[in-house]
Amino acid sequence: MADIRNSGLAARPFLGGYTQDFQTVRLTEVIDFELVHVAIAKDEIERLTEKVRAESGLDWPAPGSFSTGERDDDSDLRIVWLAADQGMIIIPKSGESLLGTGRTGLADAIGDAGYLTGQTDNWVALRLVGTGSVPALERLCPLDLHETAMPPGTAARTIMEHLAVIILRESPEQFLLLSPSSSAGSFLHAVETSILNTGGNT
Amino acid sequence: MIINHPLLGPRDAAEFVHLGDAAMIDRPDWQAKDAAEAFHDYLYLRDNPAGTYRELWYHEQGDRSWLVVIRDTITHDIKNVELARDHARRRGRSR
Amino acid sequence: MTGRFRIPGGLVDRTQPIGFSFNGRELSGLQGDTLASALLANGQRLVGRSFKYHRPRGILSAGPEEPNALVQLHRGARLEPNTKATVTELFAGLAATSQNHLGSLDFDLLAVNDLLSPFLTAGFYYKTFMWPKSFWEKVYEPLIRSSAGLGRLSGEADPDHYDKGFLHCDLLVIGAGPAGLSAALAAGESGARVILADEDFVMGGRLNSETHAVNGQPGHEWAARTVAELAEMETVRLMPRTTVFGAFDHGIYGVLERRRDHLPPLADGSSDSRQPRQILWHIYTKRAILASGSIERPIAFTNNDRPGIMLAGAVRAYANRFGVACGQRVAVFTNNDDGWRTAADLQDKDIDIAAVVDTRSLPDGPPIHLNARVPIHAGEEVVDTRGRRGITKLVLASGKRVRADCLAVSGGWNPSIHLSSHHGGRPVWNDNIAGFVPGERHPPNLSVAGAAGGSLTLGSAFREGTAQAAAVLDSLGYPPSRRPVPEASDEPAAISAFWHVRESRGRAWIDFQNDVTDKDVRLSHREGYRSVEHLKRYTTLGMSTDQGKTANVNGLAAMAKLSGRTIPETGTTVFRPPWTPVAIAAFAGRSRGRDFRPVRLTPSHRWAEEQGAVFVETGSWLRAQWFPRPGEHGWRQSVDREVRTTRNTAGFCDVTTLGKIDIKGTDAGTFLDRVYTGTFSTLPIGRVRYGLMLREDGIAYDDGTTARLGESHYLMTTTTANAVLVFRQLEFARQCLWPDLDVHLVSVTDGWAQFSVAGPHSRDLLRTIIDPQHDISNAAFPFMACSELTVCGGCAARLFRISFSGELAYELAVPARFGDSMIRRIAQSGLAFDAVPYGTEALGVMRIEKGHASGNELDGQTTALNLGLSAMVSTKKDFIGMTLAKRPELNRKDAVRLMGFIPVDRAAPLAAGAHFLARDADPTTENDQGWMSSAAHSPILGHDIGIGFIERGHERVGEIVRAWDAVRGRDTDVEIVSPHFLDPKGDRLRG
Repeated sequence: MADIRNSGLAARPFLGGYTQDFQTVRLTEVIDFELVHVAIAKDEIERLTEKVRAESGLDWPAPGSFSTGERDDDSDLRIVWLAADQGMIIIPKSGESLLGTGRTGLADAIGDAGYLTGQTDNWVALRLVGTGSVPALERLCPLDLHETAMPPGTAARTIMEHLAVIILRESPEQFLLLSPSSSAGSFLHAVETSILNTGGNT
Repeated sequence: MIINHPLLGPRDAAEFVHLGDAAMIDRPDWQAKDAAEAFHDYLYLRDNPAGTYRELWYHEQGDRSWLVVIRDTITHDIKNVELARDHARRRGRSR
Repeated sequence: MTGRFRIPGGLVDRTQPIGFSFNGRELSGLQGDTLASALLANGQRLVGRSFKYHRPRGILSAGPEEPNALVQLHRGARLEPNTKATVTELFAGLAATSQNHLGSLDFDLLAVNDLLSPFLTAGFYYKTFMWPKSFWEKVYEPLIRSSAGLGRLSGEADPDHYDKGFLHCDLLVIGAGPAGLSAALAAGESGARVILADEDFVMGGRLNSETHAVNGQPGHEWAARTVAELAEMETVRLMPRTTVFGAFDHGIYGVLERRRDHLPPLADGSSDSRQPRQILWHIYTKRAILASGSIERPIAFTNNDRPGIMLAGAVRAYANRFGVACGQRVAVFTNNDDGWRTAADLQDKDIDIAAVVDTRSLPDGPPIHLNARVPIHAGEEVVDTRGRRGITKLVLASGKRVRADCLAVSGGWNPSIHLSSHHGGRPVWNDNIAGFVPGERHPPNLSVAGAAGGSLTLGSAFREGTAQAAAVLDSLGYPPSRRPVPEASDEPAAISAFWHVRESRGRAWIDFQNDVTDKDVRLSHREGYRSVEHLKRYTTLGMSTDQGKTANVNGLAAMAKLSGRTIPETGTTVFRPPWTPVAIAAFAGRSRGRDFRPVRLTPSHRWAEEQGAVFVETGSWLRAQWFPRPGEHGWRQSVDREVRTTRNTAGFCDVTTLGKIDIKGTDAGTFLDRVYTGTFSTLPIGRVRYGLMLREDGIAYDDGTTARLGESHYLMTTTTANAVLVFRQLEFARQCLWPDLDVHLVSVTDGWAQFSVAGPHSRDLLRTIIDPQHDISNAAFPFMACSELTVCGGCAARLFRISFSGELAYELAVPARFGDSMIRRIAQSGLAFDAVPYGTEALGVMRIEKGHASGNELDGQTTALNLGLSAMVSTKKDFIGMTLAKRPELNRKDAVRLMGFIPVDRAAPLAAGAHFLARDADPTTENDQGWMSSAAHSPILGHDIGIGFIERGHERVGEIVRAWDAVRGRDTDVEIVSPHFLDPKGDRLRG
């Protein structure tokens, strides 16, 4: 996707840059990142994995997980496993854009070993942090949230309140949730309702 | 129901869409002499066993993989789950 | 004062009186009471009227099996009928009323039904209300409706919140009695993730209602201490007030947690009103232990349904747990040792025992020794009772009469096996306990412990609970528990099967809730109903809210006796979820009103709202339907203006909702050739082509345009409605049919805000938006061109020159976050070109004017031939639907063709759904020639137009036929014309 920094159009976050503190959790719309879908060309997983490692230092993630750099926080590049032949790169915009104008960096490195598709505008992202995050997610998420079943570093795609959601466990009490942007309002409402229903008043 | 995804482990059937008979993979050759008849059988004639059934499920709210699931239609016991792509290749499907 | 029947002891808090009301009478109970125990403490024995005969009824049990004591709770919108008083936790201000009577509870006018009972036997509906036929609607049905049913619904929306949720565990323990507690303790201690659920508000099960000692301390104290210990364990989750109502596939259990039912209703709008009343949990388990205990059964004898006749275990529970005497002079009627415990426990509490009647001859003397003053009648039976609104006397077979105000009856205990047969498993008969126990086919990974499995003694409950937990730990790889089995003395548990008192002459009740008596079972048998299922349906035995928890086995026993078979030979019905009723609201959870399903909004939604747009739901999307302007009256004025302006100058419309699929890979072109009827591998980069997709049976499935953006990059659009289905189908083709093609699919529907800009001025308008280095002149960017470019000084965009309206038109896409800004920019720039926004209505009008097929035409029964798209179907390659589309029946000479229709009388309205008939033909199926699929008023032509399918339409241009529309009562002469009402040669869109 071309760079949009000099455009005369204004980008409007899907939830207007929402952030809210509840008693036991903070819920924030994450807006400072780019998402790039990577489809691995047929029979090229090894070549692609090596190129990605050489350029970014990250391993291609194992099924059901995401890989990240040493800092292991949201200022780091992340690669999320999506399918046997697909992944998604989460690029912190505050850092150096690896997929900026003119297909530099990682995009060039991947070359014909994979196909890249911009996904930044397909997804709204909410970060849920705090002791109330697991109880709130129990009302939404059919997956086992116990740390033995879902340790930090887990990434999974599932369904919550009829909506597709990619859930990343960043730490025991911190989750990044991605859901389609057109239903961002419904998704926020679902998460807020879960927080309120589990005693998280503002 | 729970489907034990070969890559992702046990997942609730609510994440999946059910299609039916895995024989849908065996799409006939359009240039065969009996193509019309073969396609008729392919599309309309399905087994409906009370017992073990090989069927297609799609992990729509997951990794978007099609799976071949061997399920007992009486007990719902699932004996095996594999990626449909692997199954299709074994059935001779390629490009 | 909390009632004159209150006695010392029990697990109630005497320092915490609770005020409540029954039928408007203010009463007082204690913290720890159920509504039933509080009513009994106040001497309220009559609590309801029976279903059919309106007989006075009292409390029978102390648990979820209660068939009689059904009351209505709350008022107004929160009115809750059929609530079991025996499991309703008392709270301050609880207002209960009795139900199922006409007039007062004491003087029910419908009690006359009891005198009419000879006419109200099993099957009386079928026999009585058969004729005359006209009476059904006017007389019988209203009569039945007014007298049938138990409680009444409020008829208002439920004001409470409900929620659902998901929990995972290694082991779900169902029931927190002795077996469940010992299982949870052993498993929890070894580190397994355990959920312990119990429907009661105090865990401990029968330990709270008995006087047994465990490890040398009172049983209820051991239970409380164990619960406290479990609460400290990190991997154990205790769920009191929680009913496991169903065992579903693969270890998933349906569980209802009642969060607020024991608290006073909230005032609307109060700060806590967000808290859900109930939560429906899906619990995913690796293993489960059913420790649901057992339920005592009554014995059938004449007039065994009077208030004051109760289950012996319940009488004991009220005394031991709630500190309530169920009578001042209590008689016991039993066929087993356990019944004697009631006499013993009551005697210890100085309650007068009127008699113990045991059906067995007891050659070895009583199983429990009572005070010598208690009269014991061994080998004796209760054959009748007296007392209008409650028992006063019992009559024995010998003719002897015993004065008593409470009769405690024990017919033995039925294991609560309900959940064990939710996967269709049939219970099996166990002679030792004269009851059914779980059969072979349990839900997988469910084991049974304690009384639920037929082990009716306390010691065996502990042993089995501990042993089952050990087996679970072993199978899941946890270390074994070091916890010793709690010690309890095995109490006597001998029983001799005894179901029905032979000498009874009057009606003996088997199913209290449905008023099914021994006579009904006899009648059913006489009329030929031999199978248990038939008996159940004919007599209604075992139906309704209690599902025969106290009735089923006695009904089977009666049936077995009639047919000269044993009970196992007679068989049994199996159980389905739910164990106890679950409110529909709990199943609905949050999915009510505007939360029923998610809503998808287009990127221009905010702006459209500001413009006062009227919105329409299309699938889960909300789209602008039209944009009313001041002075416009009715939608037609707005829509006509939007169409006219677009065709005369320019219009713009949000078309983001169309499905967009990025298709990438070296084999992307090959892949598209196989899913579309046309050829896409030859499409040049920078060009768009219309594509038609068939189903494998040759019927048209979906259509849209696909653009080629690069050597190995296509962008497909689908219809809004089919976006998800097409993606699924394409993934099927990619993974299952041609797994080795190098092709990938990525949905980008939400990623791009896409706007149609149409009309003669559209190019000029776009020139003010698109960055000047991009040439969009007709020569450089002709019809069906596409390009990735930039707009507004560098914003990434895609431009497609495609037209749904038939005008010179473009679709412009920008990243979705810029959609709001983009639409404002288009609207602003559009002012100079007289451009207007248009909604889905104008979109529809323009596509009908142009004769474009849409969802109404691709309705799952039309082919490319029908749609006039045969030219788009390649015959040189394989694609989905190719072979079967060639079938003769789909290619008949007289096949229907998509045509246009105009009314002969230009003022006449047209509507979709009309059928075409020859002018003089009768409206019959045989004469049906086709149907109108879409119709609209064309503001350009000044009259209504329609498109639709008619036999051999292409050969019949100019012919007049009838458009017969029975739904709207119209019969209109229409002329068959080309479906392209406007600019048939396409000069406008190529201009």
